Amino acid sequence: MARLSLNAVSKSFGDKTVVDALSLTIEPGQFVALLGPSGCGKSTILRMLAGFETVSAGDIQHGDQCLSSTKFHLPTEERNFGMVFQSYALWPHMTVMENVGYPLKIQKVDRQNYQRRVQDALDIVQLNDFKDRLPSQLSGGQRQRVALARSLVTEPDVILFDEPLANLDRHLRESMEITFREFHRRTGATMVYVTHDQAEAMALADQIAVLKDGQLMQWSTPEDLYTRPNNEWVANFIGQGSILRCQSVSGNQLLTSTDVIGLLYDQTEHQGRMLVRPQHVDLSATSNMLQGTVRECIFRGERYDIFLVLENGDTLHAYHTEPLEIGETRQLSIQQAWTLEPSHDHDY
Amino acid sequence: MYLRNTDSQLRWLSLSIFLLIALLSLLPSARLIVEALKGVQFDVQSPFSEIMRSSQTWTAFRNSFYTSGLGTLIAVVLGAGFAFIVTLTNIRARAIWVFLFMLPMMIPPQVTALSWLQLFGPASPILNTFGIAPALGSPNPMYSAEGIALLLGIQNAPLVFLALRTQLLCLPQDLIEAAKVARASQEAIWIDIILPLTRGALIAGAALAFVSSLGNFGIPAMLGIPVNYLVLPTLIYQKMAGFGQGMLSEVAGLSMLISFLVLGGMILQQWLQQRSEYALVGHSSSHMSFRLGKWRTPTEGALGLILLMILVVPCIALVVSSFVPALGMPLNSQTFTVSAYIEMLANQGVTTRAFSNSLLLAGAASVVLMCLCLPLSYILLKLPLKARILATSLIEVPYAIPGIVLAIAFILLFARPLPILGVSIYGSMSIIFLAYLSCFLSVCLKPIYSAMSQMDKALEEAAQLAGANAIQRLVHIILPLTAPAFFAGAILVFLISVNELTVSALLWSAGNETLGVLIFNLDESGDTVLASAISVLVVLLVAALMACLSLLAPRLPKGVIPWHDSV
Repeated sequence: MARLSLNAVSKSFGDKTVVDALSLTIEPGQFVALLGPSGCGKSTILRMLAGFETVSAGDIQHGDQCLSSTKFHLPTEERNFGMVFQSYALWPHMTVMENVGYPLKIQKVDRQNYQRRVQDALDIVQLNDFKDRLPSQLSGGQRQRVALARSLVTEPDVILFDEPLANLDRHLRESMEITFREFHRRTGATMVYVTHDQAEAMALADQIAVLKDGQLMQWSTPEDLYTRPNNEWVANFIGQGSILRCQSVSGNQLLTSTDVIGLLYDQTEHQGRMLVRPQHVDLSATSNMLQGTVRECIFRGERYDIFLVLENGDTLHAYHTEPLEIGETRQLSIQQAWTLEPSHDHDY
Repeated sequence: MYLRNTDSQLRWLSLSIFLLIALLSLLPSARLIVEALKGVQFDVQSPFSEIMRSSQTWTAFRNSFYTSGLGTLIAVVLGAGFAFIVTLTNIRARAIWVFLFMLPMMIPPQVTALSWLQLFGPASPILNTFGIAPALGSPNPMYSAEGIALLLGIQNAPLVFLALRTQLLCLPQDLIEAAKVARASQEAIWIDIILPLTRGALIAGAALAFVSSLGNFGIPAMLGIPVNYLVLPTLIYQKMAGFGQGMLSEVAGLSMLISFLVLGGMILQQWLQQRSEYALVGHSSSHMSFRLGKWRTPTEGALGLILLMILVVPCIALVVSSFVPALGMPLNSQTFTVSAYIEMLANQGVTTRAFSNSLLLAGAASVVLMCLCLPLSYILLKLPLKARILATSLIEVPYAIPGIVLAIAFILLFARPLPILGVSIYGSMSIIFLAYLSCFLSVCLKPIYSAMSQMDKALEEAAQLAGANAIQRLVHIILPLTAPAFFAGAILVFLISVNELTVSALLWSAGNETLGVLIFNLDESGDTVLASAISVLVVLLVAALMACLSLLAPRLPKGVIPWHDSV
């Protein structure tokens, strides 16, 4: 097991920079998610790790070994990485067993070992009864599990996942998430998981890299990402919440209810930004300090989503147990908020 | 740069492949241009300027234009009519109509010409059988410009049909429904919706038919040469046969003339097509369709009648001709004889030789091309887009230029012994073989390339992650998954090359006759019954190979086999 590190890695296609001086250190055995909207460069990073793409600048190291730099490129076939593709990439002309065993066949593993290791891999994904079927005779979830077995059969140090759940329905996705977590616990391999679905990333990963336009926005645990976003863009991208204008305040600090009132009340300027999660808005409060007009009320089953317009014109998202009438003015209190460094593009 | 992440195997492979493309595709055309330019001296005595001033050249030029133009018109009427009816209506047994309509394209032109010649004229066995043959000495109407145009039209109608049908299949039904909701009448739907949307395809098909007519050799050779009606390809053929002074420069000049015409036609087509193309937004599962109602049976009857006239009756004439003892005799129980077939198989050394030559050439060309196209398509797909487009258009060149021009290019290339080896392949079968490789590379490549490009890239990448090198990936993953396309490519090459006439007409030599040349020569020397018997076998061979391909069709990418579709 070895540490995987990317040092100032860049990738450009023509004059378009897809990944821009990205540095990440992935500890052995970690489950890492690369999260971002489409076009953020997350798949390119994965393909550089796999060796399908060269690097335009910087280098990728695996322990002491250099995988890629501007001068050297270790071909994919010599890396011993596993990968699970979005399309599963099962070879349609081979049975489940042949698919899983192909990496062993290439390594010229002897017959006995071959049988045993394929069995073991299929056991992990609980597909031993299906080993003589063709991929076309399997369901989507089963195919994904075959791909998983194939990626681990050579016991690779690193397994890469390229949006593996994007083609599955919601129900199957949840059960595959559980499979992936068990799989990670059992193999202890380093896993790098690309997704655009933040809930998936939060549920699976120990550590998440949030990417935008090829740049690293934040590199932290899922909890930190949610409660302590680095900047306005991340705050918008992760979870639900409202960003309110307030008096100038330095970023990255947790505000109490009183701090919030102080910053929102009687603004002389509004250069500051704070993130308020909807569960921290209390609409049954009776303080006279803050109030808002209900603009929209949407039924969500277990609760109502309420959107209020504050006196300064900002919109605030809150939860409530009962419906409210549109146009009604409510007194409210904000229990806590997180201050943000304003980003330069105001695209919220 | 693009090869940096691949291993040395691949690098070595791609280098040799590019050398090969250059040899097969670029070299012949380059040689031709050099020869033609050598002739362009500002000297009134040069063969090139002489050919340009010769009235014979411009007569052939006019004839080429007339026959091709009229032929294109016939092709458009036939092809478009069939395409609209077969595609847009609820006609029954669609697949059979498509197959039968495509057949004339696959039957070699010299056979088509022969069968139509047997249909008319005083010696026609079929007319004699019914006792309605015109008086002896009256001319066969097929020996004329209009006869040539008619057959060019029938031969190339499938090109228009295909271009239009592909486009029609993309038109979603809801366009018609939207027009109906807007209360458009049936005529308004045709004029305002269907015609504008299919104009591009119609123009493209017409241009293809025109270009293909210009380059056709078999039909004007069989129908024009006997009455001294020459078009550009037959003029070149006669010049070659004449072996005069400066002959090579003359034919090179003529070849350039045809090439420019063909090139002009293609550029015009591209330009017109781009101007009239609309991006179709949205997609619908069902394509346009009209219900014929009580008109269905009459429509089917009309289509059947047309097919009967352009396909079945000439074929019957051909079959009848092959069973009579001599031309001009009627077919009945007394005259019926299979002597032509017996003679063909037993006595005529040249016939069996031509059969084995053609089978050998076609077999070797299809196997070699199939083996070449595996690494070739693989490497093409690894190239950056611009280089890939360049390489594929280079491969297209020898197929796009008329066969007669390609043959001239090969004569120029190999007239002298090979530089280092000191061996001459001129006058041997090898020169025909090489010309076939050059000409049919794109025929073989297309299905393989399209199958490979449709394959999910991840399948190969997964093998790469499994540790497989380039050769292992090709053999274990890519070959099994694209195998049907390989067979399709090989059968297509075999089908076209086994009957090929144009290239071999100029490159053959005694002992190296091909089937196409044999039929042509037998007809020229008046041995029409024997020529008919061979043609019958050729038609059977073509139909059998086409049926083989149809069997492969379900496992091939869409559009690989022109006469097959799942709709």
